[in-house]
Amino acid sequence: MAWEPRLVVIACHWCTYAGADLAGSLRYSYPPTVHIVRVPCSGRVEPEFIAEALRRGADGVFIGGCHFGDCHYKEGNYKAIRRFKLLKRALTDLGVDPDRVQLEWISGSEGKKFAEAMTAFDAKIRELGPNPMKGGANV
Amino acid sequence: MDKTGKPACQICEKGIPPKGIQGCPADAIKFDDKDEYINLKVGAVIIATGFKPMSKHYFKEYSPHSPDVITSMEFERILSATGPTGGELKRPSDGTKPKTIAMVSCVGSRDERYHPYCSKVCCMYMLKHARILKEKYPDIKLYLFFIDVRTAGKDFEEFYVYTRELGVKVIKGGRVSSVDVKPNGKLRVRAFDSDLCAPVELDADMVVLATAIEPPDGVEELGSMFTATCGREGFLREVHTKLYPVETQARGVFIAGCVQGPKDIPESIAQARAAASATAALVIPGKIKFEAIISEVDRDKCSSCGVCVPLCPYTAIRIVEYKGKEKAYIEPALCAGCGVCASACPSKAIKFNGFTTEQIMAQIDALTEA
Repeated sequence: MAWEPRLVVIACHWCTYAGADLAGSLRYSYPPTVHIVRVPCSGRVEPEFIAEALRRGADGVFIGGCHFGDCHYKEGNYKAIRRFKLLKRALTDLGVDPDRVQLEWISGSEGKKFAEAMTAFDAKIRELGPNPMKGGANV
Repeated sequence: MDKTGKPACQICEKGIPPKGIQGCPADAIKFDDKDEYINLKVGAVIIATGFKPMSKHYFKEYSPHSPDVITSMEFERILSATGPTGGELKRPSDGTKPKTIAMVSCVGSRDERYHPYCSKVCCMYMLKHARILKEKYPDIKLYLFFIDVRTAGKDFEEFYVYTRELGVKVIKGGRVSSVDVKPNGKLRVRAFDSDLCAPVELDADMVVLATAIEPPDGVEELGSMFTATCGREGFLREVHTKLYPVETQARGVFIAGCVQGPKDIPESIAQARAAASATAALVIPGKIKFEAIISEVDRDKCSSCGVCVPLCPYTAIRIVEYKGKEKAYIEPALCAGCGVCASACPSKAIKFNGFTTEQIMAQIDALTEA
């Protein structure tokens, strides 16, 4: 069977998860390679979650949060982007292609944007190819 | 007595002796009753504090200093049989009977400077006033100025058509631009008539302003006492317009009537009954189902710092004695599952069920399984 990417999307409950829901209600299609994990806030995303997903062989990890100023918890998304930038640097040092992770702000009314972002992310990961850590890596 | 300027009739207390009418025969009225504060412990609260009509004094262009420029609420009192004039139509300035009355709609409503929303009831009560006046004084000249006439509702359009047939002049177009007091005491109303495609001027004896419905004073403070939030316009916000129209963010706190947004009497009653039913559904079973996604304190780990208590937007966290020490306790019936306390807890003693690190990790593991 041909290789199909496996994407983990960690979506904040208030914006991106609602956006994903809306994408469904509006009948926008996005790739079936997307697997969503709901978290209360993008600020809840620990770097370990992303590292664990990549270690376990996810080909891409996508974090979705609210736009700045829209966070249900006021500043969770600011925390998320700070952590995310550090994590990206750490991943580069570890030899992981930082393009495998992406952070995007998608609001609850942006169902179309969610579908488009998923399609674009899927295409990008397909270009990058399978995660070399898949099937056992010592991280 | 203060509102009408007349002494109370006291029929229920003293009766009307010359006609042989007694006071209340069942002795059902306490005449010496006094105000008092009563402390109640309740399971649910319905907030129905109503609205406040906007004051005319914001609208300098409509000469609010003139006693003959009045709000619809004041006009309603003038028309009322128990009102200050005993139901007789009189100009407030000199007590003469006005021959021409102009009524202005959307004063403060649908106006970017004040309230962008439509107050919903003004069109209909202006037509009601016009109808009452026309039926009582057929020779009176009535001019109703609208942006446009909104008569959505059962039998409302028929009411509008009937009122127009009585000879009431309806002028549609832009907003009335000004009301000026002329030296002879008349009021000059300037507006635009979109049917004529021309500006119009009118000399009226009285001008009635249909001022906007506003949220009542202090509703925000009242809401925050119950942890219910206000929307952009200052009305208390329901959880969902369609699915939870009487529920607020605070569990056990319900809203009904104009405190939620402008509405007419039938709608207020319908909403009040909905709120009563929702309250009964909550209180009568005597049991509450908790949500699964709520936070929980591991009281053995809690260091009693109290950081979580003021952070909780739903006032669900209290300090309660546990094993001889003061520890945080989350009331599961109040917790809305936001997770703020769990992220703030320095001892990591609060577990946010559904989103623990183990649970999220387990999801990631399951999704990345080959």
